[in-house]
Amino acid sequence: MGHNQMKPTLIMVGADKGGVGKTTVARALLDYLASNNVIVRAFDTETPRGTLQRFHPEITQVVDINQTPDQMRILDTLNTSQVKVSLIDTRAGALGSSLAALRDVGFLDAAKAGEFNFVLFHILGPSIASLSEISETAPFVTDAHYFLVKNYVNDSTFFDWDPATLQTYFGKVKNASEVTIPKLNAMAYEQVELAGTPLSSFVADKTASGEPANHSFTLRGYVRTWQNKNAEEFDRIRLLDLITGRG
Amino acid sequence: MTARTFVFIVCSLSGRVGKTMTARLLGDYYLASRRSFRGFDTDAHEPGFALRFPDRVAIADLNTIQGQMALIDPLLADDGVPKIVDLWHRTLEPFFALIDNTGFVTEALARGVEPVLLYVDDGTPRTEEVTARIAERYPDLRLILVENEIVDREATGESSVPQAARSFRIGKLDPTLRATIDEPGFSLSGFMLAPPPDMSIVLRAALRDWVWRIFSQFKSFELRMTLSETEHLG
Repeated sequence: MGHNQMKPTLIMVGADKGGVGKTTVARALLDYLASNNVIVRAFDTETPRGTLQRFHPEITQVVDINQTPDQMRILDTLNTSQVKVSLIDTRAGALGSSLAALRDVGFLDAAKAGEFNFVLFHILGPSIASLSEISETAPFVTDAHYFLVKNYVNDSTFFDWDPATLQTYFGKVKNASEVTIPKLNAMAYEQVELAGTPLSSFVADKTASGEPANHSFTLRGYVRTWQNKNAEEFDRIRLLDLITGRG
Repeated sequence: MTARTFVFIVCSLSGRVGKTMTARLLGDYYLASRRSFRGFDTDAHEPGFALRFPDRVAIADLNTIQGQMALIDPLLADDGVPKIVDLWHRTLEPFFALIDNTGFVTEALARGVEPVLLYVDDGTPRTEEVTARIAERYPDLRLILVENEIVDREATGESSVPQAARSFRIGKLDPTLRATIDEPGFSLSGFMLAPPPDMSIVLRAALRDWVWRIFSQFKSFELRMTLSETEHLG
């Protein structure tokens, strides 16, 4: 793909609640993009210590999206950076305020004018309360590629919602698509958290410094299969086409 | 020529069809040819295979992730030591889910480990259905059907699988001999290497013949595998 002709893309991963596996989805996205030769820079708004930065220290900066200097670090460089894809892992509970910040600095208008691609992955929580977040978020994202993510990664009983209720809420948002992140075996999930490396390094049995890690094959196999399912899902929504402007 | 490390997975959809006997015979075949093996028994409640070889066979409870790791991780070691898994019939479905979820077959073949599925015919049409499904789903997995004539077919009917498809056959066994080999401390490899002098000569000859017919099939399988790996010039 011709990176030089690519329009800059901002991918935001957010949730209005903590503990819904937001950073795991951000990690899955970074690995998917890397495996498809898309160079990405990442911003972690979980100040002062970023969770995402622990796993991807070389490409991740910790920022406060509500502070002007950090907004400039992210947005003013979208056009000038050699890296055309930027991913923001928003702090838990800060999705609404982050979107408001993007609106206030004119980014959403610029995206509407076609200067940038804006892709939002909204990680949904387990409760009916989180469905109301969709209505709250919707006004900000009329010109974004908006994905509602049902994240089963760490709990199989996460989404016991009434299908009719769910449909009502999903129907309120124009152009929203659904993405499902499948469950990952609990111990594999725990180990891949403890490893503190990108998912691909865990699967390849490497430490952060590239040394052999001696992780269990069974756990690595679970993670690899989970990654493959995620990749199928990202392929299904044509994420790469969205980034390269073919979507 | 590169020697492969075999992983034999003895399985069936039904219980009481001779899975543990098949695993035991295979284990004793290696011991009788003065080689080692490592075994796994997925029946945590009645681990017949593990009780037969307590020093060589580990119990792996597939209901737990620890049990899954205790089974799958060692199976992928390309260490030249054959592995034998006695798969309890109630763990058949979880086992296939596990190998799907971990990408076991692909990883094994990439590491020089050759999984061989020994499916024990239960004498019902289900054998044909299940083996056909397995063969379709895992085209790279070597699948061998085992016909165990020790099992009373009156209860289950005649096998529906064509004779030509059978690769291993465990012949009928006289009840007296069966009682002998079922004794807890009786070792088939020990018998083949040094038959007990106090054993009836009739029993000894009959048992040796029965075991030899089975071991020769395992030997034949090994030779076929070795020949298939041989690199020919020109």
